[in-house]
This record gives sequence, C-alpha cells and structure tokens, in this order.
Amino acid sequence: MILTIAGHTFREVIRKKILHVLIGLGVLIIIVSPFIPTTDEPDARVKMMLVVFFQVVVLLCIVGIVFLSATSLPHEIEDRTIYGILSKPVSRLKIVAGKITGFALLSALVLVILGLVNIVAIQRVSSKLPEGYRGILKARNEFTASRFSIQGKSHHVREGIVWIEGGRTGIALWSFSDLYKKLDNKSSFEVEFNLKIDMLARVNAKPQFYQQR
Amino acid sequence: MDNSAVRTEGLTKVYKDFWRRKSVSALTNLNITIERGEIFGLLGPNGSGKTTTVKLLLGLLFPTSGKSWLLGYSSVDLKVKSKIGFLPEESYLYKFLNAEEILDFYGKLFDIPKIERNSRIDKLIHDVGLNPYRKRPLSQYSKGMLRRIGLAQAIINDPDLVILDEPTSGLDPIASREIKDLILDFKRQGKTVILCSHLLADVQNICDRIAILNKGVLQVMGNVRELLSQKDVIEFVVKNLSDNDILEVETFIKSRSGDVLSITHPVSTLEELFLTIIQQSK
Repeated sequence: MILTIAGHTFREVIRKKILHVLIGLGVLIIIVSPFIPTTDEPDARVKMMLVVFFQVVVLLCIVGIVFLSATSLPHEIEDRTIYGILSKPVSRLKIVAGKITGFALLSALVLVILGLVNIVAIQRVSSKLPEGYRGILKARNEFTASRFSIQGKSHHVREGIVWIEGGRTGIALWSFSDLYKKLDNKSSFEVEFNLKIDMLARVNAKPQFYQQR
Repeated sequence: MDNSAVRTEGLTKVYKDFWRRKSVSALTNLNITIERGEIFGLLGPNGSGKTTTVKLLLGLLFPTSGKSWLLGYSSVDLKVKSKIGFLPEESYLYKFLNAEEILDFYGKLFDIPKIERNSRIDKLIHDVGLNPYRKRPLSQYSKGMLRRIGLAQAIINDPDLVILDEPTSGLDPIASREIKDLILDFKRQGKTVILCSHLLADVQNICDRIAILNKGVLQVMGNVRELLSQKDVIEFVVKNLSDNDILEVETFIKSRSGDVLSITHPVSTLEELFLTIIQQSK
C-alpha cells in the first residue's frame, strides 16, 4: 500500500517538468565545472569539480526536492485529488508514509543520475592528469591490513619523516576489512603495522613509524 | 447487525475558522436511513450540505457531533471503504495519468490482485466507452470523458454502496442517459446508490427515495412517487379520439362530480426528442 502510493508519487514528480529542469541544471553545472579557473596544481581541476558537485549540485538537489515534497501534499489537498485516495481503504498515516518513501526514492534516483554524470565527467578530466596524480580518485579504496603496502620513491626527509614522491599532506581514511576485536577489551582495536618500505633513493634519516592503539 | 446501507444519527458539521470560532453550520442534525438495494437521491440547492453529507459518510471530514454507519460499520472504519465506490463532485483525478494508469492505481489501493485488476480495468474502460482514449493523459480529456473515467474508478472494487456526487453534471444528454442506465444497472446488481444532484429530472427518473436538504437542514424525505403524486387528480391517456368524442367525454365528466382541468396533447420531454433525433441521424 505504502509502496503503491510511493510509486504514484514518484511517477507524478517524474512527469512534472520541475524535476527535468532540476536534473538539467545539475548536469549543466557538472559540465561547466571543469572550466572554473583554479590554481596551477595539475589536480586542482578535479578537486574543484568535487567541491562543486558536493557543495553546489547536491545542495541544489536537496533544495529542489524539499520544495517538491513540501508542496506535494498541500497541493493535493488544494486540488482535492486527495479525496480520491482518502475514499479508498487507506489510512492517512499510510498516505504520508507513502509520500515520504516516494520522495526518498526520488532523491535517491536524482543523486544516482547526477552522481553517474559526475563520475563520467571527473574520469574524463582525470584521465588527462600526469601519471602521479591519478591516485586522487583512489583514496577511498578498501585495504586489507595483511596486504597493505605503499609504493613510491622517497623524495626528501624533514624532521625525521620520509616524504614519498607524489605524496602530499592530507587526511586519509583507511578502513581495513580484516581487523578483529580482542575479547577482553570491547572498545579498542589492537593494530600491528608491519611496514616494509623499499627505498629506491638513499635517505639519511631513519623512517619514523607510529604504532597506534 | 445493522441491515441498512446507511444510517446517520444527529449528524452535524460546523466549519470553524482559524481561531476555532464557529463560522458556517453546513449540516444540522441529519437523521436518515437508506435501505440496501435502493437508489437514494440527495437533493438541494448549491451549498445546501449535500457534499458535506457525502464527505462525512465517507470519513473525509469528521462530524462536529453525531454518528454515521455504512453497511453496518462506523464510517470512520477503514474496512468499510473497500465496499464503497465514490465519484466526487468534480473529477478530482490525477491529470498526469492516463485512463489505464489511474484505474490501476486505484485498483492497487484496494489490493485487487494483478490479473483480476487488469481484466476489470479492460472491462470498465470498455463499459464507459473510453477504449480509444485509454492511453491518453487525463489532462487532454473532455469534461464528459473525465466523468466517465471517474465513474469507472468508483466501481473498480465492485462496491456494495456507490456514492455519486453530481454524476451527470457537464454531460451531454446521450452520455447522461448512459450514466443513468448504468445507475439502474447497479440497482439490478443489488448495489445501493446514493445520488447527489440538483438536476431534478435525473433524480425523478431513477431514484426510489429522496431527501431534500436546504441550508444544512433536512426538509423532506420519502418515496419519489408518493411525494410527487397528486392524489386528487386523475389522468386518462387516450389515443385516436375524435374532437366530438372528446366533447362528449368532457360533458359526461362534468355531469358527474369531476372538474376537467385540461385536455391537451401530452408533450414528450426535450430529452426524448433529442435522443430520437440523434439516433435517427446515425
């Protein structure tokens, strides 16, 4: 029942022109985003596209869908089309739940479409990047701890830290799929890093490792 | 177990304004009982409370006081709604759907299984004469076509009680006749029909009993024939009588206790004339 109303809501909005305009605008912004002036750093363009997508396109979609969904039920009451549903054996709660489900599905669809367009656009731009910068899109790959390794030439040493060529400061989220909990301590994991670094250039300082508990 | 199709007890609806002050009293203390299998006409001028009554019966509005029962269930009970068909005053239909989709949607709300739903949709679209336009969106339908699809959605669940609010408004005489035939068909199938209308000719032709509302108050309720028959007037309908014979009959009646009010040729209604002409031209 809820799904029926959800499907109906979905179809209603799909057939309204507002959604087409919204998606069109989103796609337009994604297409234009590589041409926004940026710094000279080779991957700055990709970073800019990501920022534009997450902060402009996604925000636009949220506002658009909030607008559509907030006006949907009042509009039906005004039109009195709601009487058509209310005179059928459907409770008012289910109607509201159906509407919410419908709009949730709808926003998911919009985000999937725009997300795919964005992926294609970013892939196109990043494929022209020099070799060392391609990794920008791979930061969220999942690693298994047992196969964890970093490859790269050492570049220079400062304050006892070996900098690897092509590496930059930044925040990375590493998620490991093969960690397990110790039985006696429920709130923390014990991680043991077994790092092996193959250095191609000679470095005078010793690399410094942090073991985290 | 309540055997009547509809029963109301002191049904009252007062519309309140934003500050919950009493503004319009739409219906006052309505007590009616409608038996199963009859066609009941609810009459009254615009704004007399017909539509309010229907909405209260369907649970679209909540009464200020009083109660109503449909088919033995309280009218706020969801279960009863699966046995009711409702055609709203205007066709409050989703204009972006086509005929098939809208019937499918309403059919799904009644939880009718897919195979049965599809066969019913086919039959209904055929019955209301919209087969050539089944894929066209409702926004392109004429008013008459909207009424027809409205009627089709009202009976998609094969209801026991059909509530029709102005079913023939905006229809041409042929379509209006077809709908009236359809309503008489409902009666033959044993369904109860409530008909709201201010087109009195329609009501007179097909209703068994009527109630007349004005300003939210029930004025009169009863059998159509009894309410309309003039008990002291007698009508003879005679064919092929010469003028001399007519005079003779008239003097004979006057010699007895009767008063002759008029001797005329009966007129057929404009509706009948219209229907015959249209049928001849086909």
